[in-house]
Amino acid sequence: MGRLTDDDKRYSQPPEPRPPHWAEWLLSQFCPPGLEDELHGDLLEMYAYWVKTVGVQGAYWRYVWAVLRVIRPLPLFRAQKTQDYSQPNSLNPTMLLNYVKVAWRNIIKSKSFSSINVFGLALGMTCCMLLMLYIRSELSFDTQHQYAKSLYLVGSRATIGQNTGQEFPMASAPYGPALKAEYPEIAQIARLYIADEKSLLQVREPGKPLKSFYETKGYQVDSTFFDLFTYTFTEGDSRTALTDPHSVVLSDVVAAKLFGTTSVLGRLVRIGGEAGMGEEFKVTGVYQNTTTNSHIDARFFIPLASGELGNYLREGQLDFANNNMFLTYLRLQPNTDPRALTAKLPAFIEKYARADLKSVGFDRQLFLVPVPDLHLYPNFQSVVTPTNSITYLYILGSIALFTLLIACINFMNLATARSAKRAAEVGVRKVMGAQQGALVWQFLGESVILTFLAFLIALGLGVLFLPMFNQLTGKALSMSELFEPRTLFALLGMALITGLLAGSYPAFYLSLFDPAKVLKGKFTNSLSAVALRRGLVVFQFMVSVGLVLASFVIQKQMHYLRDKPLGFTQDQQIAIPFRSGESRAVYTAFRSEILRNNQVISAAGTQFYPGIANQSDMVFHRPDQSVTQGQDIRTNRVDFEFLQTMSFQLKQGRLFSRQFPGDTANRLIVNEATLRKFQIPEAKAIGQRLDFDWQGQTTPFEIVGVVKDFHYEDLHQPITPYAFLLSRRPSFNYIIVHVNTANMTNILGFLEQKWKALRPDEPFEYTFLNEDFQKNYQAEARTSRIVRTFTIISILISCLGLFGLATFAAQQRRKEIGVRKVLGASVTSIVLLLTKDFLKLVFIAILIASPIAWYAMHRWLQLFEYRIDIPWWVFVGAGALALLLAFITVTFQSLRSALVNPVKSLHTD
Amino acid sequence: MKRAFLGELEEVVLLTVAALQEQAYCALITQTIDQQMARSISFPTVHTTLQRLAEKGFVSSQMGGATAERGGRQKRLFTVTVAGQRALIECRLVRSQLWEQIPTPVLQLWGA
Repeated sequence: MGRLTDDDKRYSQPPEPRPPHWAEWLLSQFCPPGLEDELHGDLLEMYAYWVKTVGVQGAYWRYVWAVLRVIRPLPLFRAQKTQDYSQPNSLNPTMLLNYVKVAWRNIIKSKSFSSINVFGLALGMTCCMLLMLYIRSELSFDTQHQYAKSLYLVGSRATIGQNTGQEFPMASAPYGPALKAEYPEIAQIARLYIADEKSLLQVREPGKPLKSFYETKGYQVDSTFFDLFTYTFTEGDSRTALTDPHSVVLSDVVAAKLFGTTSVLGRLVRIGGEAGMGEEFKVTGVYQNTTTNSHIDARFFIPLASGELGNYLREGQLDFANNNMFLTYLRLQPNTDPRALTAKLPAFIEKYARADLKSVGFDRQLFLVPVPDLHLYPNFQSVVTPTNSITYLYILGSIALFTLLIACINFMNLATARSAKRAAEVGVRKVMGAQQGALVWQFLGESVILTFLAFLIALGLGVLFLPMFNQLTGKALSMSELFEPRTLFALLGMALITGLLAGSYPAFYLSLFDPAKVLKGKFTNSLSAVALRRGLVVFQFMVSVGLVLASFVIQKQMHYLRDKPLGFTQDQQIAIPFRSGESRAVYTAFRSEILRNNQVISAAGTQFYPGIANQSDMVFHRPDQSVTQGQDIRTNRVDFEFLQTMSFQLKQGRLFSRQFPGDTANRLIVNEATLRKFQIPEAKAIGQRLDFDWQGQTTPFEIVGVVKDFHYEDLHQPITPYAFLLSRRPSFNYIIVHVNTANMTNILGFLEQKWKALRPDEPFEYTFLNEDFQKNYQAEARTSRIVRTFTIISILISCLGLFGLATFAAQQRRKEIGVRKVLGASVTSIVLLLTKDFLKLVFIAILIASPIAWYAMHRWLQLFEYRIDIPWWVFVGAGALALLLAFITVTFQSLRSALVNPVKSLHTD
Repeated sequence: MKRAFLGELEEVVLLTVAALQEQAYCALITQTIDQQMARSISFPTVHTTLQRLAEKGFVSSQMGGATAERGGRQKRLFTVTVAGQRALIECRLVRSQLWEQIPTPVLQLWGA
């Protein structure tokens, strides 16, 4: 072709810059209709212009920006100028009003369906609402303190002898002050001591009768306590309230109880029991007792420096190993990293506590637990008040969710089932020009309206059932919590989501109908819709059956816990507490007085009794071993007759007896677990020595008897070594009275009379041993009750849905049933025909639910040291129950339609 | 129909359409304004303004010839309608009236 001309050279230059492909593609995809040509062309020209004026880079961005601005990507924003007739927007106010109208007419037209829907949803929402309130309250523990985010409790992980890893919240007295002195990032510390279960409060005012009350939840705290924890003082100054050892800070409730008024600054209260030792305390502050959501649910505070404890601390007991009886709280400086501090704590132990720990064969690691986490901290059974398990919150949360889900499923099922009825409406609307979007909005709107109706009912039900729910959960949730703006918003959000969720399937399903087919009357429920409906019913019953199974198993475990032989007699045992020095002083007199009654078989004093917390322990070691190989043994000091009174079963040796003058504080009666721990053969147990080291001195103890293992704690715990020691000095906390009578009122009257004769100004109190033991299962018992209640409700909702579906099925098959009857079908065969389908679904649900529930319950039972095996009949029982309920629900409808006179059902056409 | 009111931007675009006569299409209008009015204006702005003017009935449009530089695409050519002419004239009248009201000495002072 010859030489290249100059012109040719020009064309062989690199190609001219082109606008970005992706932007061009976007333009071609989303260009407003009708403008494709001109926009493409114009933009191409503009690109060339921009390349000249602002360069390739600038042109690129301008092109992209221009494309983005001229296209209308979302269909909603796409100008609808292609149609020459105008069409109102789907969300036009007039249309909205129309939707509401249509929705209302539909609701009114099918009252039974609507009421099933609304009522089911309302029930589900009520459950969800109440459980949410409960969970919220459990999660909000201790968040009200001003410094909540920088408050920590010093926890310990102990290594005692061979046992490692046990975590406990208590520490010895010197930890707090030493930590504060060592680390500047600790702003303030406070220690708390839980004195006794109950204290005796007395007010003696001139000219008035003596007022005397037992009050629980009185704590001894450092004077810095209110510098960490926020309490609202109505009287007095929180900063100085506890500086004087003889001051007391009361909650307004206690103040009102003692003085009849809350304006009580400077008045005197005598506090008896372990805490106050019967001294007089001056009121220096009153706070509002609204802090129920705190793990420190205190009724009054007295300084740590008061009473016996004050003496102990003043004597300078700076032992870092023993007397772990203080809860030590830290407030960190702002912006302190708690992990960094935790990392320094091993060095702290090394520096301060190593020597003390070594002498008792004990090792510990310190860690920090954020105070707001304490209530749900998994490894502490209790800190100040009993803690809750997060597992139970998960259980309750899932129940809440499932109940709501079941209600939503009802809604979906009924709506799709009824779709045949509304198909014609959809067809007409579509023919009249309604777009799918508009129909979706209409159906969603309808379901949202129904949901809000349900929501209003649920609010009403919530208010109505709140007192019952409080009783069930042992909480004090109030209505005002329900109507707090934030809660209300959350609930409204929940209702909206529920409405959209429940309405979503029907909305998209119904709006997809092909108008041509529907209007020709060719519409039948498509296979997929029927399958989905069945699937949903199966799912619903799966949840219900699962819940039934769970509540069966929980129930059974609770019974097991209640009835398991514990190794001693718990019935007809009355425990009477001694709460003051004076009452302890009259122990011997009281005992001999009551033994005169022939209905009292025996009575004996003790420090602790099975069923209540026993924190007392000692580290013993065999004489041939060193203290580091020692074992931690729970100990209890008792009177001579205690073991007989409680009917512990003797295996070896003998029980304590007054006949043996050698029976002193240094003799032990141990349980079998102790022998196992020390590897002492049972036959050789009697006469064995166990040593106890205390401040460098070794004290020998001799085993004189072995009792059979018994449960001294609740059955979550395994049996561990336990030893009884004699207490020669009668300073017992309790006297256990074993009686032999059916007439408890009578014997209690007698005991009270004797008590009053000796301690006229102290109230007489008692508990029954078996009840105290049951208190340890309160959390489970409560969860069991909650699960049971909500199981019933969820089954109710499921059955409600089934009822609706059965009604629908019966209606749909009216003609068929009529024809069958005319041809001679029996009522039974028709009922069977209608019920069979549903029962099949329930049966499948049972099959699926059983293994899942088995696994879940198996996991739950692992929380207990002693537990039931899940018996096979539980599955059969739960399945039968579900089938029975479903059968009753469905049969009711089937029977009704089977009994209808065929003349009636057939002549309407 | 919306009240025929001419915004400032609309006025500029409409004037440009009138000035360009047979050649008035979006890209050229944009470039003209960009060059002559010493004022930066974006293509999409002109595009929407033209659409608004069409909605108001101030311009009419028809598809015009394609050229190679635009990848063989057609142009939409705009012409000023009678209503558009009226609006422009009215606009100019109002302005000149206001100009006339400014006292001559003042104008002289401005150097206008």
